[in-house]
Order: sequence, then structure tokens, then C-alpha cells
Amino acid sequence: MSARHQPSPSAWDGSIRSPAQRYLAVDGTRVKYIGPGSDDRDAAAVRTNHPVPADCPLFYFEVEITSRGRDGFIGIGFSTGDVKLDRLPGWEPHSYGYHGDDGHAFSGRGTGRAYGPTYTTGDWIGVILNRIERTITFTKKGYDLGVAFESISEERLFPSVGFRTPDEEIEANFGTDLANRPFRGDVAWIKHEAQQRLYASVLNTAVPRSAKGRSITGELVFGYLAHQGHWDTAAAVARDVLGGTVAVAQQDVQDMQMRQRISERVQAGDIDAALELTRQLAPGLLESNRRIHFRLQCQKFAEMIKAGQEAEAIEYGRTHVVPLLDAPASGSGGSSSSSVSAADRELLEDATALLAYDDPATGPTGYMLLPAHRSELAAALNRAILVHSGRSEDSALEAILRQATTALQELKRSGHPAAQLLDVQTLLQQQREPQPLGAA
Amino acid sequence: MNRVVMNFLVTEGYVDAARVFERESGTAPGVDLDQITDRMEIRKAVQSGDVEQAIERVNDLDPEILEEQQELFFHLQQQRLIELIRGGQLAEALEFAQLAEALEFAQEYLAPRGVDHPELLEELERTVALLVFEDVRASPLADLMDVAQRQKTASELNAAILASQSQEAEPKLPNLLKLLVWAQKQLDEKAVYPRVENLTSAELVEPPPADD
Repeated sequence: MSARHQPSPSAWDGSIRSPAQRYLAVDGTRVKYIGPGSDDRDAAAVRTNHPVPADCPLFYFEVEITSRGRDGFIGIGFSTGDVKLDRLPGWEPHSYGYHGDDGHAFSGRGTGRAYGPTYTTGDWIGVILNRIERTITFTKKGYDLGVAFESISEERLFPSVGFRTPDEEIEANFGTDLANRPFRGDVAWIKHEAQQRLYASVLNTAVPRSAKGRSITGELVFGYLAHQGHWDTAAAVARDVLGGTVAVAQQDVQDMQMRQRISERVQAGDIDAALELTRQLAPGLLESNRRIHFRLQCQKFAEMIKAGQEAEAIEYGRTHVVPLLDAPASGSGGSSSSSVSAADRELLEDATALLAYDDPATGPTGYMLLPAHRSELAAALNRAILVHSGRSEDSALEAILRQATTALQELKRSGHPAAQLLDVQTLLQQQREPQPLGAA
Repeated sequence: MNRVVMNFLVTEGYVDAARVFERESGTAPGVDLDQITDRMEIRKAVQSGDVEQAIERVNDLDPEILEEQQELFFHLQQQRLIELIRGGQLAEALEFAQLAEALEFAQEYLAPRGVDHPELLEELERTVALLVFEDVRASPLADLMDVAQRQKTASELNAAILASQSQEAEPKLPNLLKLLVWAQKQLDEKAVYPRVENLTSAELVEPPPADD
């Protein structure tokens, strides 16, 4: 259930049938009370065409009092779609209102409680629905009046405004045309403040302690460094951060150096050497992972064409590359990830197309001979070797980054309001740019 | 990710590791590593139990740090008391003198500060209670004698020095863990998904199959 692409409130809805409708003149974002206004039974309210979207973390709109009318009995706030419109917002359950005549805040009953100042002609009221903290807050002429309502649980709330006495008139701004009608309130600041509180609460999350009493971050950093092959730093971290409780395994160092040599060979276009080294480091890999084997052979085929050995290339393609397309993978019978795919067949076609050009690198499939393609193949081979030897592709630290990113994306997609204001990079960013050293 | 790791090494004061990392990965440390050396030595002093030397060196560096931060000063003195008690076990001959010193110390330095901060007073009471246990390591207060307690005090002091040099006090890396824990907790209410249960291994744990 995606909450995206829900329309936002953009105008008052004058088409809702209700007994009070005849008391209001509704024109887009403007409303004027034209009823008799003798007593509370003559009250009339209007709500917007759409509710606040479910995933919206902070919704803000402004209402300017263009005329207080006779007594200024205006109420501004929110209500759900089933609240009767012959009442001021706040008088009925599931509605919330800040009233201009007494400055009181009403929710679900006819008596309010003291909240803010009264408001009248010329004043403008900002309304903030904060879904992260489940609050509604008002501002008057930009001055923050504080939280008016807490524990807001209604899912679908419409901005609403209600009237009671003749000639009361307001004009709202829902922020649908900010270029021509900017908000008067400092919305960026309001958002910033809410975001800061949200970040603070996320950073207040308790992280379980490591069972062994060691530093989780230290271990993650160590694992990352070892995974990246920064052995000296890993050794320093093991010594200084982890107090010598872990150490770099010599076998790991050797394996990684070997993988680095294999990568270098692939990037240099020397596939034979890469294949030979791969057989040494990971016996059985090329037999069980037909896909990576095929990609390497394709690359060898392409590199031979590049070297001008067309005849040998064609012979090699017939004897070594094409048979891989049909041969069953040994071992597990070939899972989807280890067998040759349609995309891989295209790779062979692209490689073969290189034959048609005097300078294969400038042909339409010349990408196969570019460093970027070779690097990608080298990285794929590296991953295949890691998986083959029972190691994970990523360090735990990278896995945590990926999981945090994925979980946050999922929350955003599911319409979680707070998640819309969070991102991983901001939490990981340096607060200030590093100062250039020795700068005057 | 290299920048996050460098940020961790620099803010936590691991100068040697930061230098090696700069050479090995080409990641710029973003600060003058020489300036970190002082901070690191002060930290080492706390970690090795020499709180007195740490206090002296902090005051050499910037006397305002301890003057302005009562809570930090309290925690340093608390650590000093812990170290005195620890020392009291090792050298029988000095035991009495040190314990007496520790008590006097508590009255002179710790108690007055605790009055302003009720939570500090409670910490003080716990710390002083160490005195009554013959074998503190078997007591309910053993955590105070732990290396982790030294680390905690060292980190707090380290953060204060960083702040005084208007550098960031907190490494960014723990933020990632907090975000992960927070996001998974929020997501638990909405979906069933492979979770990271162990932050050190970061292995994904598949959800149990649905009942129906």
C-alpha cells in the first residue's frame, strides 16, 4: 500500500452538501459567512478538497482574517471527513480548532481551554499538523503559540475553518503556488526545528551492547578495514581500539593479495592469467559458477580480437566460449545465479560484433574493451571468489549501512511520516567541511 | 564509508591508526593529527588509571574545561576514587592511607558537587560503597571497577576536549547503528522482513514462516 502521490489540500470544498452550506460563499481559498449568525445553530464550517496526505510528516497552512465580521467567531483547525459542517471545528469529536473570539483551543467539545491570544481582522494564523509528534500547533503573525493539541490519532484530517457571525471572511494559503503566493511564516524554520527534534530522538535510540563487552563500532571498523584490505590500519585498530582482542589473520591477507592480483590481471585484459590464478585460489569455482566463467571467456575472446588475433579468436570462441552456453553446471545443477542468462548471451553477440570493425574499440560494442567494463568484471569475479570461499561480499559495517538504508526506504514507501524527514547521509555527514590545513 | 571510518578514528583520538589509514586509503583526516596527540595521551592516562596526570594535563591544555564542566570534573574525581580503591587492594601496606585519602577526597571534592546534581550524589554513593566490599569484583558494584568504566570516563573527557577545540565530539558511526535499530523497530510494526539481530556480525535473519 503506497501512500505516495496523494493529492494535498489545495482549496476549500464548497460542494459538500450540508444545511450550513447556504451560509457560506466559498471561492477557492476564500470563504465568507453570509448567514444570519443569530446563535450557535447558525454556525457553518468548510473543509478542504483533500485531507492531509497520510505520509506527510509536517503539514502547514495559513489563514488570513480578511474580516472579523460582526463578532469574529472564527475557528481554525482540522476535522475528519465525517464531522458535521454546521459546527465550528473543535466543537465536535475528531475536530480541532483555535477560536478567534476567545483564543481558546477546542477539541471534541463545546467548551475550550485557554490557549492563545484572540485574533481579528488583519491577523494571519499558521497551522502546523506534526504527524511525527502527533501534535497541532498554531502561530499568530509568525509567533509560535506552542502545542495546542497532542496525541492526534486521526488518519485523515482536513484543514477546516468555521464561522458564526455575519461578514466573517478569511483567505487561506495551502502552499500550492509558493512562487506567487509564498507563506508568510518561516516554514523552513518550523521544518528544521521538527527535524532536529526527530534526529535527536533517533539518536537517542539505545543500541544493544556487545555481548563480549567489546566495542561494537571498533569491531565493525576492524572488519571493514580487513575487508577493504587496509591491513596496516586494521592492525592498528586491533591494537589501539580493541586492545589486541582480535588480530589480522595472515591467511586473509594472502587471500586478499591474491584477489587483488586477479583483479589487476582482469583490468589489464590478461584473462588467461586471471583464470589461472582463480583456479589456484578458488579450485572448483569456474566449474560451479558457469556464469562468471562464461563472462571471463567472453572477455578473453574480446581481448583476442582487440589484439588483432581474429582467426585465433574465432577458433577459441568455437571451442571454449560457445560450449559454455549449453553445458550443465557441475555440482548443484546450476542455480539461477550461477547459470548463463539471456544478458550473457548478448554479451557473446556483442563480443562477436567486435570482429566487424578494423578498430574494435570504436565500434558500437567497443564498451567491452573499456576500463569500466573490465573493472566491473573484475569486481564480479572478486565477489564470486568471496562467495565461493564462504566469505560475505560485504563487511558487517557495509551490511549495516545497507540494511539501515533499506529499512528507511521501506518506511518511506509505506508512508511512515517521520521517515520522510530522515536520510542516512545526513546522519553520517560531517557537520562542517574539513578546514584546509595551513590556510591563512 | 572511508570518511566515516576516518571520522571515527579522529574523534576517538586514535592518531596512529588515523595516520596509517590516511596512507593506506588516501582518506584525508580533515584535522591536524598532531593536535590530537595531546588529547590521546590524556585519554591514555585515564585508561591506564592515572587520573591525576590526566587532570594535570587537561589543565595545562585548557584550564577552563574542568572549571566549566562540573559533571565531567565529578566523573574524573569519581574515577580517581575508583582507582584509589583499586590500588588499595594491590598494596596492602598502602591500603589504609589510600582508603583514608579516598574518603577525605570524597568529602572534599565529590560531595559538594553532588548536592547540585542529585544523580551525581547517587553515583557518589555507589562509588563510596565500594569501600565496604572486601572483594569488589564479586560485589554488585563490580561494573565500576570494570575497564568499561575507565573507557566511559576517558570518552567523556575526550569529548569535552574536542568541544573546547570546537571539533565534533561524537563520531558519526554510532549514528548508523542507532538509525538501524530505530528503523527496524519502526518497520516491525508494518512488515515482516529479514532483520539484522546482531550488530557485530550484521547477518540477516529471515523471519519465521507465517502461521497460515
